[in-house]
Amino acid sequence: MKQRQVAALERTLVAQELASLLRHDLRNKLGNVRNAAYYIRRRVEQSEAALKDPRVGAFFKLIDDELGAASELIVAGLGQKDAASQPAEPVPLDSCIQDALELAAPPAHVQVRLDLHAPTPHPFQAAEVALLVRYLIENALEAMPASAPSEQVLTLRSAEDPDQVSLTVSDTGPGLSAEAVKRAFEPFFSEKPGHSGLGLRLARRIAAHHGAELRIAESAPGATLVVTFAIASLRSLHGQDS
Amino acid sequence: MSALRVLLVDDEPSHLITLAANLELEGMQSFTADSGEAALALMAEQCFDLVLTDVRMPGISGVELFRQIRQLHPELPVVLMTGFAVESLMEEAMREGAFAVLAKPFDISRVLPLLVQAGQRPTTLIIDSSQEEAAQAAEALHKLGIRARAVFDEASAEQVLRDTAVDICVVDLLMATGGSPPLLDRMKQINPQLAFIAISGHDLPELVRKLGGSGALTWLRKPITASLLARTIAAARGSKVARR
Repeated sequence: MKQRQVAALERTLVAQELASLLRHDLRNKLGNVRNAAYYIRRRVEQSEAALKDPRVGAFFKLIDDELGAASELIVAGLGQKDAASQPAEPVPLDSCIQDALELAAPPAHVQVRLDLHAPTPHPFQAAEVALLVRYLIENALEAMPASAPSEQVLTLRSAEDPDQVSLTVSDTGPGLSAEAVKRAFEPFFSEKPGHSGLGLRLARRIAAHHGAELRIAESAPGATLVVTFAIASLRSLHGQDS
Repeated sequence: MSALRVLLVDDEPSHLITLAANLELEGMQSFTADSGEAALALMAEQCFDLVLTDVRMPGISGVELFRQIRQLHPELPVVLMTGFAVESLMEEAMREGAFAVLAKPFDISRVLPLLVQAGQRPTTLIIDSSQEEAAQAAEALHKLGIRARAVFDEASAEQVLRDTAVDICVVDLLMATGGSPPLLDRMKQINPQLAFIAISGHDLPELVRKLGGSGALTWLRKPITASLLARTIAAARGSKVARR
């Protein structure tokens, strides 16, 4: 049941991400057409054709107005709310992590170390957070193929204090190149063959939905990602008014 | 006056050529580079009055390009453009002295005047009766590559406005509202395009509200760091384009 819920959520997120990239590209293209039309209009406005036929000027205005309106329509779509929001039930971060581990199913050659200390329930969107953690785990697992010579370890550490709850995911893979650190959250950027390069971007989308911060921590060897939820943001975003 | 030499940097060819065409129509001389690296190579050979760069590009980003330009040519105005909503990188660039940040796509007819203005390196005028504070602020802005001038009394403020191309005025709130008619109104009369950044040591919401209705005005509360001031100046410049 949980598995199905997460899969549905993932489809929604991927669709939203693709739509937002499409909108961005479309707006830029409309902008280029507008710039080109603006240039031509200014070049011909004193020409014989334009002076004799008022429709030339009127149509340039029409092109600009219509492109402007189309661009506005695209922006209007941007305001839509992220992911299908369900009321958040208080769950501990640790149980979201357990769910994510089950979903990600680490292969036998990877040793999993758990160091979980976030048992207090908070208003998380449980399915979303499980998906976020799954992306982080998958990102770590992809850095540790079975072919690697040494022992592979995935470490998940959670911690909480009165202000925040955090999760640290580390791997013992080759670590991230400077380029990868810079571009990790860009869509379709991946240094691993056969990967879409959307995982971390979607993870960050979910983090943003929770008012949380997702960042790459300095670490060697391997890579470390940290997600930190501020409890005040969780309450204000997803908490029930009481 | 010779034509402004503008270097345009963007990895998207259509944007580059349509932008270049419109700049030329405006009397500017445009040069294009399809990456930050190519831009730096061009800059090693020739001089420019202004750089307009996209932020997201393969290779070095527009923000990195801006930082490298700051090292080579501390005073060269750099305008950044981005298709993505507020990014922390943009915030950093504004704090480090970028001229303005434009949201893509933009209305070219609004951007052209801003570019002409940027190429002329307008002055930020700082007016404060405390000579030390005004001079320090101007000095700090200079270090960020922002042309600034400090004056300490109303008469010099009005004089500078008449003689110099000023686009932003940073003024102590009490001074701005003092006099009759208030200094602010007199300055606007001299230069109606002027954007104001009012600074005060206290919460003075009444005064700010009174000023609020009278054109472009941002209010900052002391103490103010150079980077916050730089950010506010860049935002004020960019907002002239943003409104539609």
